[in-house]
Amino acid sequence: MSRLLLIPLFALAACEGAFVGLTGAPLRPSAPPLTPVTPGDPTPPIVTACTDTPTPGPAPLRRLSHEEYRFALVDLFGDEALATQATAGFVADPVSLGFRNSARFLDVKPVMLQAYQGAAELVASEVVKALPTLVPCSPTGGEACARTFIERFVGRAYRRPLTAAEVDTYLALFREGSSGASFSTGIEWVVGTALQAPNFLYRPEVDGDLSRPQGLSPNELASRLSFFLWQSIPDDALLAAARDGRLQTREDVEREARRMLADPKAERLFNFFEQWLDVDELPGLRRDPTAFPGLPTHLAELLREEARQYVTRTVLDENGSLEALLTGEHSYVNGPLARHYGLSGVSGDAFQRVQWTSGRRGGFFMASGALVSHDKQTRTSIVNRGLRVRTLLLCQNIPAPPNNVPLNLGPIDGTASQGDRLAQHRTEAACAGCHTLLDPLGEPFEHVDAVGRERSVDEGGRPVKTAGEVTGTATADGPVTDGLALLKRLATSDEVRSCVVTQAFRFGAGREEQPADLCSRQRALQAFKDSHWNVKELFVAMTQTDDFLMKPAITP
Amino acid sequence: MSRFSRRFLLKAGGVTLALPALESLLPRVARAQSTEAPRRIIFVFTANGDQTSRRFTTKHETNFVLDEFLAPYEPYRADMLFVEGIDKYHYRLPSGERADGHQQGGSALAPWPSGTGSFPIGGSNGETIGYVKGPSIDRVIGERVQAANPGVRHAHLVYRVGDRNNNIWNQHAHAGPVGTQNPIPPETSPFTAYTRIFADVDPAAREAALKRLKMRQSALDVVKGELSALKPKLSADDARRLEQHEASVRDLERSLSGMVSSVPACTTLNLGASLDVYNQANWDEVGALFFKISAMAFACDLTRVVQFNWSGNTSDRVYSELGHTDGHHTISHDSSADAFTKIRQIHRLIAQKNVALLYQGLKAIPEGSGTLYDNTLVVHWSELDQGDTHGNSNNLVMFGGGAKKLFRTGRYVNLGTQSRDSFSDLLVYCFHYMGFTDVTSWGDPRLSQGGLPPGLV
Repeated sequence: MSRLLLIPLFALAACEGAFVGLTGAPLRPSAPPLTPVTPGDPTPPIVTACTDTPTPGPAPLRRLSHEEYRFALVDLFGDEALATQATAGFVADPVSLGFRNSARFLDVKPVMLQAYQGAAELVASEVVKALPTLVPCSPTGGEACARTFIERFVGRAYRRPLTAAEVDTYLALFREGSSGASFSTGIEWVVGTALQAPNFLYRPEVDGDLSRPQGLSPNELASRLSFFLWQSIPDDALLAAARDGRLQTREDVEREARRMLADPKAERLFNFFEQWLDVDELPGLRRDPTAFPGLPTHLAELLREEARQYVTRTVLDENGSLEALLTGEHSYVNGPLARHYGLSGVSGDAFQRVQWTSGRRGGFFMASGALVSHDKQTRTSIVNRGLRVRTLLLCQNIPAPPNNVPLNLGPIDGTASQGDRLAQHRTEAACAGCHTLLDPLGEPFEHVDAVGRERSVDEGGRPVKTAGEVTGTATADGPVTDGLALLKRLATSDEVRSCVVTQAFRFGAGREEQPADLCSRQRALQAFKDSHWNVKELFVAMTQTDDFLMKPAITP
Repeated sequence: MSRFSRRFLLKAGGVTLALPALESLLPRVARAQSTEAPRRIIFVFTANGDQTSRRFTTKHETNFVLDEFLAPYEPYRADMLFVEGIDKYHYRLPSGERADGHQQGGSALAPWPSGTGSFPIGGSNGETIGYVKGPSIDRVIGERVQAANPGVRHAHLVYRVGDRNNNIWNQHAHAGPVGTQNPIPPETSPFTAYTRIFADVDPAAREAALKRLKMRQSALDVVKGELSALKPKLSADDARRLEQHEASVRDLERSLSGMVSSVPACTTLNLGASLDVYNQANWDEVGALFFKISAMAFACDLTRVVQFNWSGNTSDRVYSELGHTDGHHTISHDSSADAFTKIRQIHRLIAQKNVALLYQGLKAIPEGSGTLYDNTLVVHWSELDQGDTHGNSNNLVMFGGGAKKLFRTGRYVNLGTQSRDSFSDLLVYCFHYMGFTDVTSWGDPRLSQGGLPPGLV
């Protein structure tokens, strides 16, 4: 056990202390003792020394994620189906820390280069078919009209005014394309090039003196805001704010962030939530038809939509707290999903709010799409559910299984329940180290089956046992009776609160947290706390940190 | 200045002289009949290990007897070398530089330590674990092939059946360089993969491509211009990623130039109707298509190196065609007799597919006085020796196809009886097969036993 999960606190460059959550909490804290928790106030103190020196962490060049590329196409052309078609063949980027937008792994290898080329050509050839809606002037205007289009369209794609040289480059493309052909072909060349151009595919932040840390330029801020909150390019209003000097201060950024979070495009933030809790893994959902007969067709899509509705309504429409997000005893279902859950009174394809009535179920982690995403074909997986509580909600790490050790758990259709066999498993020393960390966090969910329905008996017809225990936390340890009780215990814990900040930071910054950004994360956590853990406010708060507003010096 | 690259101008001479460019894109037989056919290599991955005690009923160098799950290879035994007792030695890496047996064993084509920063499982002392920090052998061999044969368009092709998302468990190809985490996401759709490399082999598609050629080259010129303008303003790590982008552009430009086919059999394929490549019901059809594409890519000399994966490691595919209800990985964690029966069934099924789809597919394409099969080394491997122990000291590697051009085939060898038994050392023979006999070691020295396994060639 001693080698497990003893996470060294990293050296603190700019701050004078640390608190447990932001580093991933040690299960058994080693010396020096962690920041003490004030009785009656479960929130660890925030380090005030962070205010002294701005400390932006690394800002690696971001290539658009596939979702961002798709949403950018949607916002450029307003054609959802075309954007989906154009990006359908993109090979998935490597997952890192659960997210598919990690800067270090998003590059352009040969397969993606050709995929971008194909997408750009497809979109260009389609959108020029409706030239009048694409180009804001008459083709009879010739090159002057082309110039207007280039400045406007490529400028939006590049998220900034083009340089004179860039306009010339695109004008030359237009001339070559239209020469001996039509105005439309020239425009097709422009669009087809812009959509594979590095200044579109990447988000360069190269304004100003790169040899020292500095605030982002207004255009760079506009891009950071829009890709963080909208997963896409800025709208005209945001670019105008940047152009007109209304995107320079923290207050400017906050004003725009609030405007953007009130916009329907903020629903795209579901990207963060679904990657965090693995709802995005649902397309691979497969269940044995004998074990689970009569499942609705497209169950995975229904479960994803249920989770999406729950998250976006809770966070964006209801200004919900983290506790509400993780423990709200309601959900959103349509007719087929209501039948799946055995709920009456809901029909049709539209999703509507329903109440969970068992008193044992609620919140985003227990939304079926999140809870069952790593279950097995014929049964729940206590281990995987517990693992995901430990790693995704508590931000703790688990060591690898030992090498060359029999892992025999016995056949699944034996006489003992899965929980009983795991208990037996834990009597073996080689297994106990990890499984004591995992199983008691997974067992409380046993009253929900592998397709998300509440139950009282397990796959083998035995009454489910849902007793479990939270261990390894600073303030939330203790026995729990079921899944909702577990989540209620965790939702107000230091570890989960700061873990959410960490997860949102990883998604927003496109990288793993570093010592240099500790103060930024702490400031976001403080604001999160001050808002009474309002999740939407966390997103606003993250735009107010040094890490978001600044960029570090670049060492070539 | 013209937007066309110098190479394009030399080749096409501009719009009015486009015809020579057209001809240069046509497949043609350029290699003299007397020239020896090129060597190819395909790595074929099967997940979750097998049952180490049930590979052979008799272990004798030449009179060995294949047990049930290897039996489908019996008709090919004279062409094959069966090597077991191979250790991947990754437990020699300190904790924090290795993940679990699946990930580290599944990265055995890239025998390097793992980095940190990507997954909350695996690292000791609370570290996260990352991808391996170095290239896979298919990548490095492919780069060497291209350096020696500039006409070969693609260094390697990386295919996986199933799995939409990519993580440290299901990606087995890595671009490197040494010290860098740089996984290569595999292609998962044979339809997209085919179009990508065969677009100008198909006459109809070639015509469309030619129409677009000018636009493509002009767009690529803009791409190159922006990359070189951006690069000096970036950190070294970011500049490295843009260099990857630049290398991809060069690859693509190479494919815009003329192609050289080694055999008349180079032709287009009919892949049939598109299907959902992530639906497990389509698993074997997707595998069949990727094998077809691989063989034809060899025939057309589009590449000489393929990494083919029946799945990622830890695959939990349900082999419902065998009557299974639990997934492969789930079964593999179980030590019961019933579970091992199922494991053997899975491996037998995959062996049958390999023979029917890959071996017979290669044999169907004539080359010189023989077939592609004779010039293609097939390397079968898995991430573990056996799933229920996560063991990695008694791995089985099978060399097949044209193995006899290097190895003494028709034999069984147990390397576990002597000290030169490292998986990474064994892979050095793959370089040799492909003509790169200057290579004497592969991967991190800690994973090596300091020399090549003896008695194989």
